[in-house]
Amino acid sequence: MMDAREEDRREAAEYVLGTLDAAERSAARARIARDSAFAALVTLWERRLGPLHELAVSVVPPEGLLQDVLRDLPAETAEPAAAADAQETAPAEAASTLPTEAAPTEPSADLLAVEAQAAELLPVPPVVAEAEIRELEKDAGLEAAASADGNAQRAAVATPVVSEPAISSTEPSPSLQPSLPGQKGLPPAQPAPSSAARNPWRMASGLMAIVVLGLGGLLLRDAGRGDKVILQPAPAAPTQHEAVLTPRSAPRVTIKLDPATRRLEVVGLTVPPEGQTYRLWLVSQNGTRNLLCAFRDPTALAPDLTGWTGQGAAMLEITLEAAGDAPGQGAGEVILAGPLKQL
Amino acid sequence: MANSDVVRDLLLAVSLGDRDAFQTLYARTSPRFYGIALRLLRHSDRATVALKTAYLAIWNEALALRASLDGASPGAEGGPAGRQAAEALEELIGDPLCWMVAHVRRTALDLAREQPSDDGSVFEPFVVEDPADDPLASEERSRELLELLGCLGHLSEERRRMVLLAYYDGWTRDALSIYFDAPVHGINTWLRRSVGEIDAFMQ
Repeated sequence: MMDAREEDRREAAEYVLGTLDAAERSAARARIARDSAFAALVTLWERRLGPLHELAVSVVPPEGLLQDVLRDLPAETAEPAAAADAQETAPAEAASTLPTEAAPTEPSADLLAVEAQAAELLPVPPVVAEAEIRELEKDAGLEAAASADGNAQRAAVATPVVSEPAISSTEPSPSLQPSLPGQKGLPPAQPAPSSAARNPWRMASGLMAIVVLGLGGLLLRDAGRGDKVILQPAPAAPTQHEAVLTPRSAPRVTIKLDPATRRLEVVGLTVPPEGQTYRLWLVSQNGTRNLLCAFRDPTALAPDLTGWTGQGAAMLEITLEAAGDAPGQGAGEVILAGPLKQL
Repeated sequence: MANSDVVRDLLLAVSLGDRDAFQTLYARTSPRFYGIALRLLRHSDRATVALKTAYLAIWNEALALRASLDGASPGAEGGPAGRQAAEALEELIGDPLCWMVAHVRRTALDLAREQPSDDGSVFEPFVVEDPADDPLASEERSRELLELLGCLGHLSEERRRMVLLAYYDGWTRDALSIYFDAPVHGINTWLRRSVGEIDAFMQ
């Protein structure tokens, strides 16, 4: 028999899990509002189960949703000066420390100092980066990637579960098991209608399916990395791309990128202050950041497009950095950013 | 920098009312969050509503955190003070991504329960016609996830499946009862045991 405390823990867990019906859920919500101990239990379970999001399948959100959200935000409050610093730090630091293919970046000890300096010398106002990262090209290989051999990685993810001794093997084999020899005890997929077996996405209700699909994305991303190439997406014919970078109250900056001619054209950007340089970065959808070129004169560019096939890029960013700094030291405050669109 | 660190820094900026940081945060997190909401609700219009509600709540709650953050680390945005702010935020909300995910699931589940869909779509396998590259994707699984998976591995297969179907697909006890062909009180018992075991393992 459960005592009241145990019952509270169970109720909090089921609230987070989602198994309560409408009335129970409504009662739980009311209780969260008035009972801080119960609210703390809910938070505890949200933190415990939260990491499962890492295995969730990502889906392109509807276009316009961001604008819809922004429209409904409360009226703008006075923006503290510190806000700008905080904003700059996050994306710039993030990008500079994510793994890169060409590895143009190095860690910097005086990251924050240089950032502060760059902030004072902004030639253009902070930009509103278009936040909707569009998928540039639908990859026909995605389904194949989702079900492709990736046993090493699957095993790595599934290890903690595989190693558990208490897993029942009495259930009928889930539909994914035939493709996973030797993976006894992996979390099961939700049994699906027979048609599901033909389409990996249709199997994606149980944990194993989630793992496979999640890894499908990883496999695709791995395709560009030399050390872990598992599946190479079909190379696309080089086509011209364009990114429109739109500062909040400054002329529009347009960058045209042509992988066929290796030409890159920047329109609408002024020469930076003395001692400063622009650096142009190609940011892929997984956050990998490659330096295309550094320049002061926007009409004379020598981009390095060797690492770009036209696939997988999501965004262009321009940072303003001290000319003497090594690229990617993190000093780069992102002053302009915008998604690449295929023309 | 790990996803959670990036999201944490963005949230700190959002707590100052920084809309640009909010847009960056949206760009980074929305594909995954939309996938989570869509799987729970199965209809894009409903998932869109839930996601919008969640992001508005995230904005409002991030702003509301500012007073506590200022109290914990006055004037903090860079250097040691910035780290102090980051630690203060983590103290308040835990892992920032899990905190955001909790908002998304909460709003999606509220909508699912208050306006249940009668078309049986919840029992359909989750089909993704428009899968996205995930800006949050990482080869590394977090220690917390691995611990949780290890813990779930101790449950019997059926009970593990039950927990995962509830978490990812938002199935109620009634839905689980139909799926597992078991009476609701039996499902109740299984859930109770599962939750108790997870609780015991994770304490």
